[in-house]
Amino acid sequence: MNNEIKKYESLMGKGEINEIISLAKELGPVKIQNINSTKQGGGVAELLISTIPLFQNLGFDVSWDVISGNHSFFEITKKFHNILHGIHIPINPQIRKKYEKNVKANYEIISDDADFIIIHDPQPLPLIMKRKDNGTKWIWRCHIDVTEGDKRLIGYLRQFIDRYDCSVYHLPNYTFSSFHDEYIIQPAIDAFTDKNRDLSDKEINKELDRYEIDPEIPIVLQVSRFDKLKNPLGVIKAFQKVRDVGVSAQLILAGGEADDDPEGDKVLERVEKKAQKNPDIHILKSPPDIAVNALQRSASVIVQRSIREGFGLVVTEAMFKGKAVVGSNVGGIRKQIIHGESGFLVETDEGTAYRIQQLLTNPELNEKLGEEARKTVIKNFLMPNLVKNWILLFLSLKHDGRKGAVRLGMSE
Amino acid sequence: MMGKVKPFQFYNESRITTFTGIKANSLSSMYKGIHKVSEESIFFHMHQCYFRPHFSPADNMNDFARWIWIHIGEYSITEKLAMVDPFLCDSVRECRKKLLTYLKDYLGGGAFIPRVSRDKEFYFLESKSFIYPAGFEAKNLNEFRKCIQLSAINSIFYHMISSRMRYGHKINDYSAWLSENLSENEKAERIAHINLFSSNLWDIRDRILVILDGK
Repeated sequence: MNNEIKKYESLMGKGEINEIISLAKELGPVKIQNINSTKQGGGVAELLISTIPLFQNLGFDVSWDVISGNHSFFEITKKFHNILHGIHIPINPQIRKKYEKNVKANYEIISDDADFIIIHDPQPLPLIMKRKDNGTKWIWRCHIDVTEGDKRLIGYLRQFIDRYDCSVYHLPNYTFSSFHDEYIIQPAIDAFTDKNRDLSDKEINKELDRYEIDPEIPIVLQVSRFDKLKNPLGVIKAFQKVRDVGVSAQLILAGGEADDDPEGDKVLERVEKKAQKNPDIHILKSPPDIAVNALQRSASVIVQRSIREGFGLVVTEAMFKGKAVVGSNVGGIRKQIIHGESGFLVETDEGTAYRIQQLLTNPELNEKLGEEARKTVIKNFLMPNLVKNWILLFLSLKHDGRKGAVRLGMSE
Repeated sequence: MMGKVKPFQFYNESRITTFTGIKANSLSSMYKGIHKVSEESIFFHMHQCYFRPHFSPADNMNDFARWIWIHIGEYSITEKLAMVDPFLCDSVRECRKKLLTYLKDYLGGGAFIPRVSRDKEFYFLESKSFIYPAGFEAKNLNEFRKCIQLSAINSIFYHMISSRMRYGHKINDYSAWLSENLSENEKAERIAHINLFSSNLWDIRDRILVILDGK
């Protein structure tokens, strides 16, 4: 019993896992339905794949459904996504109508007897219009950073968001100022997938060989999609500055292509051009999870120079592997790295170069920051932490969002 | 040893965070925010540092001081706010009053008040807490040590910090029990004297274990 969650005892300690098991007992058996727009790819699907077995293992009845839609619907929601990220695209009333009509066609997937329905991101948001008066609590989980989003679109979405019992965000900066309670729950990583599990030296070497990476030259690595917001060109500039002062290193930029960024192709083209001119720069397109894991474990310095970052689970993954990350002082990266203690926060290419150089030439400091980085993730950002926060949220809704301290399971 | 030993019941206090809807981008809006938010929010920001793993004491300050230090860069007011020790305050209300007095004095001094950009604003948060039995109890020192080692960090928080502040206890729960039930006055005293103000919860637990081991 509780085997899935107990796997984490070796990392987090028995006490932390017992706390979650006790909380689950306090909540009692509940039925939870998750609804999003895809079972494959993307951070939401990845989180659900890892959390659902943990919830089930704790005795909850958890399901996951996906809304269907035609090509034009997903074109619209992709537009919404980009607008919420600050890209200007006009939206007319016809587009809104199409969006609502498509979501309406999915009403039949709503569970009649769930205690909690969690709607992920804007795609299925209007499902709330079909809410029944049956005691089900509706939660909207927003996984994106909307700080630069278009106010008109935010205003339009608010008419749906405000109908939910509460909403959940990675960071307080991303909240919509809704009328209901806005909870802050940080995402987390799964320590036991190919992306994060311990690897043997043999496995690591196999992956490095596959990409013809020389393990003798210190690796500076950024793992991210090739789009403007992830700023791979900034990483190249910083790396060149490090090489200019004679520090030996190779740069690896690894990640998928940005299929939802209109400028993604141009960014990749420019990155590839730069790489062609410099043999120290390697571009790895869409490497499998195990290769990313091996690269992170082999890297001397991991960089995340994003211009904006919702949370930055890739930073969490690097920190979990005991790596000091040089990360942009933005969004969720700022939440994870304590500057000078578990990595470095930077604002410029020069700052990035300075910190990369510092870490490459001071292995003791590098190791010390890396150790602290791993501790930070184990204490805050592993899957059981996320599951615990969800149970607390359900308990909070069960107690009608009562403020202050609630005493459970004991006589007052 | 005194009469019959009353077992020590271990509790957890698990907390989830919500946004109050109030934020600050300058010292004056920080002042207004501290004035306006709930006591839960003040409590949250005065104690969040205990949950922050760190190895540099420089980071170990309450959230208000830390934000001013990092984003506003006004060091004299940072130092004053950092020195507001919640354990020397009788209540959260008193804590709030001290913070407001320092800020008011500083703002009244005519200092130039910078504003931060939107992405660096201070967000007033608060937590909803659930206090419930951790599922184990101790009847003697040996069991008590084992339970401390097995305790979640949130349990240490409850017994060492939160129950004192919430219920106005003069002493932490561990020291009270050790002294009243096991007559372990020396250990009780040493645990009571752990300087919480400059520690995080993981360090606090380690120090308690060292004391219980009689080192």
